[in-house]
Amino acid sequence: MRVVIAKAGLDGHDRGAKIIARAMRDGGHEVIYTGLRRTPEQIVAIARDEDASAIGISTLSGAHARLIPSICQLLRAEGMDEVTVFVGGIIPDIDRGPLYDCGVRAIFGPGTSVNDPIRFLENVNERIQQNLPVGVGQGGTWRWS
Amino acid sequence: MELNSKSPLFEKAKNGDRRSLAKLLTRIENGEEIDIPTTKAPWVLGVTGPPGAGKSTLIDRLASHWSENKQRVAILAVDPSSPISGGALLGDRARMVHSNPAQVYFRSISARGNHGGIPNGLEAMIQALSESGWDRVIIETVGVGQGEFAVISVADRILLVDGPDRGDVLQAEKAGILEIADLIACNKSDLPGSLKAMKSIEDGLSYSDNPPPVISVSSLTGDGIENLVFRIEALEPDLGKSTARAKISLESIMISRIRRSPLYDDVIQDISQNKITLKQGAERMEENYGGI
Repeated sequence: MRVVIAKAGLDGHDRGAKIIARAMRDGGHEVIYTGLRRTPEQIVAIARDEDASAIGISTLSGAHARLIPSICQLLRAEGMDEVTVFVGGIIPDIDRGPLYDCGVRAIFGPGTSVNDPIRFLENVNERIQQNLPVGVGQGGTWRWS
Repeated sequence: MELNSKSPLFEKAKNGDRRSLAKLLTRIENGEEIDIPTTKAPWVLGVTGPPGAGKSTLIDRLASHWSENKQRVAILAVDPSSPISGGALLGDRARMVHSNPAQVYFRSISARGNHGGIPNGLEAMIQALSESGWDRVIIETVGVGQGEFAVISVADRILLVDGPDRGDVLQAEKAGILEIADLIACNKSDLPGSLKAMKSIEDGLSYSDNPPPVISVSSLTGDGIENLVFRIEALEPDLGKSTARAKISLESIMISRIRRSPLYDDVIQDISQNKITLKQGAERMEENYGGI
């Protein structure tokens, strides 16, 4: 799978993003790292140009409630409904519902094993084979837990 | 379904739809053939050099320069894949900060097990880009050693990037890269020691016949970029270099075809267990040439 690992906004902490990117490479995926401080528009353009099937957004700055819905909306506006969006970082429980509601399919918090996001992508792949919704604009209530 | 000039995907890519372009390139990368007539020769620049020399940052500067001059620039950045998992970590685009993303198309490409070799469909991807209106195609790959830089031999102009404290030009010379490089950029001219680096590169080249010119640039400050662009634009076809490039690219393609042959693994097994000699192995591959 081609996966974009993205850092959005002013968050400069990318160790987690880099570790996940490496783990996904070791899981056999082609991982494109955006670099730091990208805008939602840039992240969507990168996913479009790279023909990525999934975008993983790493966020530790507290700006998730603004940046992530913005990325999800832009993806739908571009017609990229089938792209899977997942999130890693520090997301308080109270903020998780709204992120799932805007199309995020998985949220990985502190203490996550590097294997979990890889299993998640495998699960996404299986669902794609079965024509089940996985994308940001495909609806349904499926999420990774 | 074959991709041709009537395919909706190609039509849309030609009309500037980036998503269709991206999907078109994915299909070519995954092995689909294209049948699009060539209306103009693609303009292709290959950029290589040792890790950390500043290739991506320099390409960002070049792309930015060209896009400001209303040229549409496409960059194909080829990175190795993991020999164990087959996955790849493609991070070159993290360095793209100056160039305008609306005018510059950037695509990361995994070598998919074919390290240093020409990735599947690269030539067709270049053609598709050129025919859908991308005026400049830049191919980037890391490499100094033998067999590492075949990727860029598909380009018709080649830039080698080096910098202070690297001393890799001699390695590059041993590997034969100077036979195909048209220009050498000595990057990081903003750092102390850059003059010494220029001198040492030039000294290293002094024994070569017809060595490529060395140009001092700083991707950080932008110094020397205009001069470098001018030198790239002014390159004249060189029969010696184009012959050397054709040789490297043909050999690279042949090697990957051999590796893709269904016989390959069996023949390797038999050789490793001393069941057949190397010569017999080679003959068996040749007999089944149709299968390559």
